[in-house]
Amino acid sequence: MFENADFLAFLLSLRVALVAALFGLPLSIGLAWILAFKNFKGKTALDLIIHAPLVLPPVVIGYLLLIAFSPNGVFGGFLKNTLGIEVAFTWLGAAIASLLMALPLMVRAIRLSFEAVDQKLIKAARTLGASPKKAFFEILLPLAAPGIITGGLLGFARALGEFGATITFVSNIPGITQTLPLALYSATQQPGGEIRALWLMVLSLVIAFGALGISEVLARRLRKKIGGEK
Amino acid sequence: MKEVLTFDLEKTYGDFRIRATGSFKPGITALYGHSGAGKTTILNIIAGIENPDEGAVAYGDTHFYNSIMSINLPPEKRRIGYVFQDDALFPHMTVLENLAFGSPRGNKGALWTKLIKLFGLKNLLERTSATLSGGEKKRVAIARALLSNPQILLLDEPLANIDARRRESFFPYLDILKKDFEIPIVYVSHQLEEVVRLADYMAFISEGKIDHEGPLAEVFGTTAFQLSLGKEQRGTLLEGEVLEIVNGLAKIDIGGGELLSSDKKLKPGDKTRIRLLAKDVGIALQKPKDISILNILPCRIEDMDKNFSGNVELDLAVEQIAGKKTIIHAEITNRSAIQLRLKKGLSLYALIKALAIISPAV
Repeated sequence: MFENADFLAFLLSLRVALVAALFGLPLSIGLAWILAFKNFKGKTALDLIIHAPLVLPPVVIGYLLLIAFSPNGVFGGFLKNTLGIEVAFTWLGAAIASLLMALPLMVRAIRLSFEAVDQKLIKAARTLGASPKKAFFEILLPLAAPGIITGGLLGFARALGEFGATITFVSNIPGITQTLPLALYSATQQPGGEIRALWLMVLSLVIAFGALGISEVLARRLRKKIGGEK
Repeated sequence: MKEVLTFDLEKTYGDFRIRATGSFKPGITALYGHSGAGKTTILNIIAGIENPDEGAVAYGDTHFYNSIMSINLPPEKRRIGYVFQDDALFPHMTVLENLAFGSPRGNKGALWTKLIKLFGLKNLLERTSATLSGGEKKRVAIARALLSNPQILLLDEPLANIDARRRESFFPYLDILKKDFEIPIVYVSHQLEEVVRLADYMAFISEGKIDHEGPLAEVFGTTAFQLSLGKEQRGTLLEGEVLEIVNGLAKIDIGGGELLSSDKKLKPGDKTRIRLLAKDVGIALQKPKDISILNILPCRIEDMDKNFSGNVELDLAVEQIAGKKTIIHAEITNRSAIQLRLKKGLSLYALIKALAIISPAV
């Protein structure tokens, strides 16, 4: 019942989703901050680009990534020639695809939590001598923390479930780019693969509910601190 | 270190326009005006968390904002303590963390020890702001602002969120500011009682413009200010000092004469401010005898005018003793004015009941 490829898919999915969420989080925090508090020309365009993966078919995103990151593409060529990194058809490519697909969800959640923070608190911090940086790290971030955790979880979950962009960009190579959803898809295409498919589904559930549980505990603890309950 | 805060600024919101010019000296200046007159906006601009359309704000030689010179000092460089109307305590921090946030020496140093004691904060330090009462929050907010070692302190309606019955007991905390900190303190309020009790100066703002600015009693006497008060509230503000207590009545020197007050809280030597309502002042042409009214002041009519309600308003100059001119406002009916044949320059007596003189010690 238990196949080595399944275990590899489980580990790979975990790695891809974690990398996507961990790298996506600071990026999303930065983008959310810009969208929440800054006014500039091209803000709408930036907003649209970030949200594109939400409205475009994932396959389109995968295809765009393939064009850009193939060894002959603009980014792919640069990465290969200067850093010796190849992303097309590697787990790193899967992480990039997942990150891109997860980004709009993370940015949205974090932006909303930034906007929910009473701006007067930031202003009060400034009048108390805090630089914009200090006000950001000591007032805005801690107060928006529950929203940031939600954003991280959403990103992780979205990355875990990523299928269309991943299969288009890095293909479905067992042990290399075959994540849980891809393995599950392959199993359903195989005659007699039902048991394997079930097993893979259980693994997916374990990761998803595990992540949900951890983030819920964290968020509850934080909310308690902010709400001032003891 | 006795610098003055000066500003001359303009800001337009839709069809509401603020044009304010003023200078605030060390001591408490009440920025007084009705809600929506632009008081908080002026504080925000002074603090640098809002920008005017054009103008200048400076403290001594330091430019905070100057549209011509393109100077806009960020709020953290202005050293202004700002106590917001809703306190703006950081909800994710304890009282101690809130207080230490802007304090250059954290929770150490003489200022820390002094403020913890003066504001009675010792037992609150481990609490979070959500568990504090309105008065406790305000004490923390004021102490937090003072701990950042400000050169100017801004207070936006500090008594607004405090239960009306507890306001009286909060005054001592504000008196601390007056006694222990020699910096310009701007006190935004639309409560006359607070202003009379606390302020040294007053800037009277109406529809986005500072109409009058100066020592409290002076601005209080201006026509514009009197008109802004309700009919029942019009009157005179007199500064005085309690000379002695005679038969349970306080004898108060008001510069140009003496008044007897039945206020039981006064002690000899107390400085006090007397609010004398115009409708509580009566007039007699001859010095009356056999009358219950204890305060009978010889006066001369400086000015008289009919007001909207058809009554006659009188500006009475108290016959000087010490060379200081004191004006008392009186309001009487038109009928009385005609009957007594009142006219400018006429000498008469102002009658004031000792019970009508309410005078908190300041």
